[in-house]
Amino acid sequence: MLYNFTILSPELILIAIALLGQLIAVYCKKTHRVIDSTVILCIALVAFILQMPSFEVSAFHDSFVINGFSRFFKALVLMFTIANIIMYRDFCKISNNEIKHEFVSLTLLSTLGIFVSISSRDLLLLFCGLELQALAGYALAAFNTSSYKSSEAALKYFVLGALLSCISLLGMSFIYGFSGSLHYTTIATLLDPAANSINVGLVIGVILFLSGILFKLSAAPFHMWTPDVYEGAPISAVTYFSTTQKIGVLAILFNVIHFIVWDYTQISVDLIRIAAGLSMIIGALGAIRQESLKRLMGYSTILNVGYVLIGITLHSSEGDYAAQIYMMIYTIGAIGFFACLIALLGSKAEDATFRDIQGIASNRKTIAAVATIIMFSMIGLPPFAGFFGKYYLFYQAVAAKEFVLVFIGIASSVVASFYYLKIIKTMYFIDSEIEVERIPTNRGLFLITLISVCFILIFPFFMNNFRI
Amino acid sequence: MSELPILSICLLLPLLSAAYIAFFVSQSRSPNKQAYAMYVAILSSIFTLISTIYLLIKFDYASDGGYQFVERHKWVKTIGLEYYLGIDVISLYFIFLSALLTLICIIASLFTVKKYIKEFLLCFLLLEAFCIGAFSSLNLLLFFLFFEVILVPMYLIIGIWGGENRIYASIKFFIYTFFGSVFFLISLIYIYTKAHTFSIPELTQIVPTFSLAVQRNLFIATFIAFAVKVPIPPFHTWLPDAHVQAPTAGSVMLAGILLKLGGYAFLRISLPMLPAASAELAIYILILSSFAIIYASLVALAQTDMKKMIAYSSVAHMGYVTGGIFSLTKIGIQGAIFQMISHGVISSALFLIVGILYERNHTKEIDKYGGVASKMPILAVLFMISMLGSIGLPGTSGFIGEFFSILGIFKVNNIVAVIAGFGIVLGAMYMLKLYKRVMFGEITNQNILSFKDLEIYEMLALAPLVILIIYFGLVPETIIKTFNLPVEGLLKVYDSFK
Repeated sequence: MLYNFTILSPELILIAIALLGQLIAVYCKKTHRVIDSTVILCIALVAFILQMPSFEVSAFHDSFVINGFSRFFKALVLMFTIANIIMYRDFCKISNNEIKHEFVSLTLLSTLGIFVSISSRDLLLLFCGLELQALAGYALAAFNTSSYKSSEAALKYFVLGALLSCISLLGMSFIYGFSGSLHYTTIATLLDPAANSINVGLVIGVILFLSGILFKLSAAPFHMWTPDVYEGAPISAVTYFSTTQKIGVLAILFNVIHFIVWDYTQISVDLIRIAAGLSMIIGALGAIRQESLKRLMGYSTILNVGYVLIGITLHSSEGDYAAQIYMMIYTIGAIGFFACLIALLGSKAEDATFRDIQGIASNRKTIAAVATIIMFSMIGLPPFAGFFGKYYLFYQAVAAKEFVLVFIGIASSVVASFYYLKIIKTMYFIDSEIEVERIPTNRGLFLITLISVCFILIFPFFMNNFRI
Repeated sequence: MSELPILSICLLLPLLSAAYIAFFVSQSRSPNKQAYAMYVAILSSIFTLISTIYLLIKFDYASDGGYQFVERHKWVKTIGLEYYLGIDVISLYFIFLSALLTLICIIASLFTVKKYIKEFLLCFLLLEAFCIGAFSSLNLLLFFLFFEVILVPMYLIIGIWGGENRIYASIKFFIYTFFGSVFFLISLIYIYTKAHTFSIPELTQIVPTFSLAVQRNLFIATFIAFAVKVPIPPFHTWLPDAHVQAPTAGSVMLAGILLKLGGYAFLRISLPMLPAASAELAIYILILSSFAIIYASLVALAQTDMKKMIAYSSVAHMGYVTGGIFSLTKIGIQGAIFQMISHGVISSALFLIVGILYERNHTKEIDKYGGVASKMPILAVLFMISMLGSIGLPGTSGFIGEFFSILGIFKVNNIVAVIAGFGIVLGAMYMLKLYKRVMFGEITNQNILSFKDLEIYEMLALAPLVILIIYFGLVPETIIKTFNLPVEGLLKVYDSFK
């Protein structure tokens, strides 16, 4: 029994950090000090996770598993969470908002949900993890209590999220009803196409269940919430949704596909293929007329999730690898972009539009250059990381003869280049109409943008040795 | 003794000085850091030019085929990317041209660019490095990398330092080219899935064995990418906008080097790798080229803006290039290569002259000029030589290129050749009209009375180009005979299709 808990230790430590930090923050007036120590503890936790075994170890009757995959993704997710927390702290500092530890606790709890779901091999445990992640997310979206927009966004997110949770729970009950088990491997054997009969109930269950996960990944046709929530929610929460949450849910999707529907290609592949194509089209076309930058990033997320899903439809280890590195490159770029936005606009980043960044490059040369590099990487221009991610992904897709998706992919990337260029254009080519307020350089944001841009620039040099 | 990695030096010198300007000069607190950036840029481009001249001297023109100065290092194994450089005669001249034109551009814009001079120089150094990289890479993916990344500095050059309508022009330029190159990317990926290598010398052995249908698809996909770059109508509409809006130096690089990338890619990729499809589809491209020549010349005739007229004349002149290449005859291809080099020099000179006039009168409208020759005699002479080169007067470099290209086309199809020949007449019409209206006649605009003749830096920028126009025109043989071996090597595969 004790052994089981040692395997669970990262999760236990994380929950302890989240709750104890909250407790201390109530009594300690210097909240940012508490947040600093939380960050340091989390960094230590990353190191702790990275030294855990890479071979497979299971606990609690095989319902909780750790291995190299979960180790990598937990460490990555936690690193993103740390970056999110730092960004929240610095955003409050720049915009003179009151800093609240609740945000940090909620972020950590949401991350805890992702942790549990990544390791779970049991549908019930998975559902608990996903719900924990989602509930904390709803609260994060509503965090800006003084703004109607934030409440509206949270409400939309909550209503849709709850609906889709219900649907995926319905799917799970289908699966349980027809297979008699909640455990991944048992379900997988029943879904095996080599077995004589394929159970229609199971198929419906899996489809409903996958829809729930695709919703969290904001893949079309379950993307409706993304632009609205991104526009309304506080920017720190949006950063969390578009980076940490997406990476985490992607890992969960991998698990589900690998262990439940792996051999049963047709249903999962067709569903995900449709989702991939739709996401790319909607993400590319939806963003063109957007004025709000956060909304634009929402569509950009949808678009890039579409690319990632191409990798998943390939059903090969190379395809998965391509999807993973693509997602990683995109999220690192996205977090860098949000950090740039906060560093450029301060409190105005909350509802930033193209008007706000007009001609900003003349005053803030370095940050504008960094944002430009990130945008070029997202367009997929060589020699930045985004190109290599996209190239590897398309290469695998062409090798697997997924020509339709590749065609949609390249067409949408041309369309998308328009709105990424629009950001560069607005920063550099248009003279500013409004007086730009000087925002002091901030060390935490600077660090995040620096890491992001360094990764984008030097990724091609270590891509060779980069294996998950 | 191991050989000096001279190609890497040509490539890295501008790149490193650009990085130096970006990270050190820009951050320094010195009051005259702009002057400092200028010194760095000029020195670095002079050294790059010297290295390319060293290449010109050291190159073994007598060796048969084969790439020289080869450097090969592994880079990203999983996707077949290598750092693989090497040149043959064709790339040699373009590398020299890139280095020369960059130096000229930097000299010409030192006193004319008013804002963000450091960033301007940085963009040009990057552009130079990427162009040299594209012309010297022997790995297809590396080539694509450079081919694509050239967009970034050019986009910024047009967008930041361009004219009134620069934003529209820059975005149009970017999206057009990006649209073309995604097709190139997809065909690259397809080739790699079949051949498992990106090395161009190996691919020229492997890809021709693909079936005709596959080759045809690959050819069409790559053709779109290169046709946008060249540009061949109907893919040309970005060019007039980009040229008119770009700053003078930007136009020079665009016309001098970037357009040549398309033609170079035809020679390096389409022709040797996809022989069956090239032989089959060549006639359509010939027709397209002659259409381009006539159409662009007629449009140029109707322009009232000097830069737009020269931009359309570029489209027409590049028509001879594609025509010559796809005549698939030795003389045609030789003419096409020569035409690319000479057009690089001539159009650069013309754009520089327009820039010089613009500096004095702040307009590009032809009607606002007239009688400039009496005030600027030196410019009038230089303009005359460049203009005659553009028309293709014997004795200038333009003549040789057009003559050889048309000769090549004649061997394949008489009608197309005659149509293309008409282009020369039309070219004479619009260029002479331009020269007459701008240089001769009454001085109607009072501004012109106060025009000063060329400054010393303008002379420095223009003189080498004009000297080259005459030199190429008088002794073309020195250059054309060096093309013999590579062109014969290129056409060896086509013997079976005749």
